[in-house]
Amino acid sequence: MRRSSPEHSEGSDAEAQRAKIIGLGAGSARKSYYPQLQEKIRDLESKQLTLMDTVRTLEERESELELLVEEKNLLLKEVHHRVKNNFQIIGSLLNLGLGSISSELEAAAFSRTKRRIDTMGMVYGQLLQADRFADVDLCELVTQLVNALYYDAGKPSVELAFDMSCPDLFLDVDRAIPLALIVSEAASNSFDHGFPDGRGRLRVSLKEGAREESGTLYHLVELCDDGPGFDIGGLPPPGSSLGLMLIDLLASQLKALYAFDTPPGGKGTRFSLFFI
Amino acid sequence: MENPLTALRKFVAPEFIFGNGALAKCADYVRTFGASKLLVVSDEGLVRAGWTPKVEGLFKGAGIDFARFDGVSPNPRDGEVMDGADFYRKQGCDMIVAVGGGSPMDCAKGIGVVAANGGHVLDFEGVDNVPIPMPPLLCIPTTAGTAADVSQFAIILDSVRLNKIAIISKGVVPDISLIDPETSCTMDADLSAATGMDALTHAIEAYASNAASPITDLNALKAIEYLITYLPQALRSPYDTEARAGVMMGSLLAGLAFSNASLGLVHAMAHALGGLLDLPHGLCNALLLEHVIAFNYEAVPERYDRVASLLRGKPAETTQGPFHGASDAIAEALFKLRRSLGLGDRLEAAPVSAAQLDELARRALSDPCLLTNPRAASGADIVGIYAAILPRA
Ligand SMILES: [Fe+2]
Repeated sequence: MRRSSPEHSEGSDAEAQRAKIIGLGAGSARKSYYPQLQEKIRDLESKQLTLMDTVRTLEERESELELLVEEKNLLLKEVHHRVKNNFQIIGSLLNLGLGSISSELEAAAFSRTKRRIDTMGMVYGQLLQADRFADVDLCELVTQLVNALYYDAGKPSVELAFDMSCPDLFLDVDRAIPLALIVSEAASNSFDHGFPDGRGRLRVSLKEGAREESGTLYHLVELCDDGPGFDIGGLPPPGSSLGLMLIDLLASQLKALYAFDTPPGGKGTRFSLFFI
Repeated sequence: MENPLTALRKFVAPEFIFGNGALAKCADYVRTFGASKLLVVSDEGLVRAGWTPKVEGLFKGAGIDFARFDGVSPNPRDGEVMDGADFYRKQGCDMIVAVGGGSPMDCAKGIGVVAANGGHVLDFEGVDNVPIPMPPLLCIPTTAGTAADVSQFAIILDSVRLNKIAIISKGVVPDISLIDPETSCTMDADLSAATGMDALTHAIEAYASNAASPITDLNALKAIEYLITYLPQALRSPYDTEARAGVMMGSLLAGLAFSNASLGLVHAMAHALGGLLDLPHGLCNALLLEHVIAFNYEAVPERYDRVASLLRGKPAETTQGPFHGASDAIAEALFKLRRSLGLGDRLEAAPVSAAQLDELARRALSDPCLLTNPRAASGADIVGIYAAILPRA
């Protein structure tokens, strides 16, 4: 049996210590930064790999999302197209029906309905034209709409004047449609009653303003003709005219305020619509 | 003793430049290491002598950023090392330049070890106990003795136990040393004598070491020749640059020898003495040397014979056969040398008690330098040798 005495183990400890002093111990190499450097490099390399992986995943995700968005846009565009086409079809059907109506009164009601359908179709048409999917430029919409109604009215001696000082005012479709219908009713009103002798002037304006008390921004659409004006008592009650009824209903849907009054100067009719 | 020719040996030395004007290369070498900010470790004496400002001026001229740490005392303390390491981190340094003697260089090594590894400097006591290598270290030695500029040793004072600890690691060998003998001209006579005797002790102990090898022998013997020739001359004419260069060369060669063959009983005892009584290292060595040789002689007589012939100014090559009475001859030669250097024979210190003597011997026995002494020494042997140079209570 072998036993190591304390002296013996002390002796071999000393021997190991001596070997280290004269540079022959395990790992008593010269100073070298290389192992540390290697470790750092390996660490950095693995971090870089992880980062590149993350970047790749993100890039894949991004292109997937881009594809999805593109797909969604295409679908939306398609839907808008169909909606617009449907309005056109309805409009054409109404046109066809108009031919078989002999009553002037009924024919007028028919063409008013057709105008309202066209107005709605125009909103979608503008969406497609601007290559936007959710909202329309209000200045363009109002200008286009009033111009279209002007040509339909067939009163070339009436002068149109636009004062659109609200560029970049966009309204989503849900709000653009009632607004377009309101403008359509008010403009038709002027074309139908404002120019009995076929001449005069219609001023259309869109402005931005701030409320004095609260500073809240609001928008104002105004249609002002210089026709014979109206007698407040002579206006039919809102329930009896579909046009006025529509303005009333749609304005409350828009949380907007409206008014018919006589413009300064005392001549003509002014329609104002305030909305936020 | 093993056969030094066939025994497994290793030789480690830093890159060094020797000669007048070596110092002027410092900025160049710092650039080679790609350092962005230097810690210049020095002491007040060197700042006053103008060497530290001179080196710093060279860095400034080269547009190299640096911060100076000169809170180093002779026998550098653990607290000073820790302060220096703290300063190093706060200043955002990434390389160390030591300007000075053994104290700033050992302190710089301690700072480097702590800066790289964290923890306390005393944690790294022992051999091969420095896991992460220290930042690049450039040494500009200004004394001719300690050879810390080429050695794998750093000696730090544990200020609580008043004990000198040794950090021995290939990792504390400097990366580059610029050895410019002119810097040693400003040493006063006491310092010149003490550091010169330290160098001579390195050479003799490395030559007598049980780990000596042909390469360390070559360096050790040549070192003895240079030192015995030039040391007295440098003391007589301090601005004799050739004499200073001779001593510096002796110190360098002795350093290369002992850093690889290690030392012996003289240093084991001097470390204990310097720690407990805060005495100059070189002086302790100078006084202990002849007594330790007398004790060791019987273990390697032919080696000491060779030393004797060199000390007596006779080229080693002409010595034939055993040299009788070499131990006495060495004692005599060393006595003469000490006189020529203005050194006495005993320490002028407060009387030492028996308990202190025992403590000194206990510490010397556990010193790593004892492992390469050619003869095993007991506590009683060591007490006997201390008694020869210490005043007794
Ligand atoms: Fe020494």
